[in-house]
Amino acid sequence: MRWDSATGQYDMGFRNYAPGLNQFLSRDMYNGALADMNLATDPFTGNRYTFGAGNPVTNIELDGHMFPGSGGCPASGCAPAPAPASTTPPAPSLPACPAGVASRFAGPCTPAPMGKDAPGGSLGFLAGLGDSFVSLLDLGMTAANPIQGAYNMATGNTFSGAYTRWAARHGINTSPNSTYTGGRWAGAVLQMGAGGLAGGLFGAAGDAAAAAEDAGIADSGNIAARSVRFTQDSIGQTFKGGKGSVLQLGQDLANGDASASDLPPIRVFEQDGNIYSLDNRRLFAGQMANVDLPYTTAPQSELDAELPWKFTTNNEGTGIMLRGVGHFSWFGQ
Amino acid sequence: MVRAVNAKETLIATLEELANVARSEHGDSWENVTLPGFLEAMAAWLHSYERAYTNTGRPIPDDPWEIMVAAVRAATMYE
Repeated sequence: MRWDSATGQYDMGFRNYAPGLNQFLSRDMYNGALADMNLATDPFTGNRYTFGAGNPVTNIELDGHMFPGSGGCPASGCAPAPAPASTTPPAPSLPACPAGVASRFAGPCTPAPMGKDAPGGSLGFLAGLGDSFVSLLDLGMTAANPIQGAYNMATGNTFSGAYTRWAARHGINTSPNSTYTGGRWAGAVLQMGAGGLAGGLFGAAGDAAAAAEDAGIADSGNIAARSVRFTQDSIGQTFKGGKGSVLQLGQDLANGDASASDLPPIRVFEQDGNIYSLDNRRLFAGQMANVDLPYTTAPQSELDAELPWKFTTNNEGTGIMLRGVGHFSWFGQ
Repeated sequence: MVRAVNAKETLIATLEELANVARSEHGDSWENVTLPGFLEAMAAWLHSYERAYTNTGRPIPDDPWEIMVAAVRAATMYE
């Protein structure tokens, strides 16, 4: 799979995928006539131009041609798909997740498949866009949450992996014994990119939430996009009025064709020591490119006007569904 | 029944109010200024509307009319 910046398409081998159109540019076809007909008559898609037959949560396309479990597989089953040429880290071998919402912060684990036959994510076609793309199914239903590789909110004593490296770059102390108390994470996010904030990183004891309030956040500045949480649980693929692709902005930010400093600042607010944004699409693009974004604290009037409608996240803002594409989560990476 | 009638009237009034706003210069301030965008946003919000209430500590309405009033307002700004 290759990104062609000249055409704005993904060359997936068999055919090209146009993210702006949210579909392939040619029909998917199989040599077997019945299999080919099955694609056209599939009630879920009704056509052969969609990615993963219109179900990117369940299906995966590695070459733009077929997905495991599709009608194109021979009776003996699909051959193992070739590994995509990407920098996506291999999925770790984890224990099965316990059921229920409470499992979200229970620790790294393997999510139960969604639906009747979901084998895994299908967003590998975006794998080359960043250094830590993660295709998760649904953070609200699973616990394969990259945040868990970074810290454990249930126990408050595990900081590791990507978050630790990221925190180190930002001068944040991730020592288990000194960073987290009382089931609330205080201070760290508030300090990221905010600049000039209090030197104490976390409340070592006592009320962590109070420590977060004490630390505060500067009115404006730059902040690591992957340290900010989404308020919504899904976003559309385009910006206001259908102008501009969210994925394209992420790509442009990643390859330097766009500068985060030229974007309007995202509006953020703090709740329980966490930073959320009202501007989920710009935040998505920033997280996708893994850049710092300009921010400003949201005025209370705008919080009052928008938050009652927008605060639909089902995973504490650590991931979001790009409608028609799939679920993404880069938080804390 | 009285409650339902009132909520229905509220929905009608809300739609008329939003139609007037959409025709005015303030319509451009909406996040979703096209009909497809508005409808997609409303569908997405309805998919998740319960959490918009629980995440903000409000009771979830049990009156479908009231939910529809909220849905059309949400569709003006839901991303």
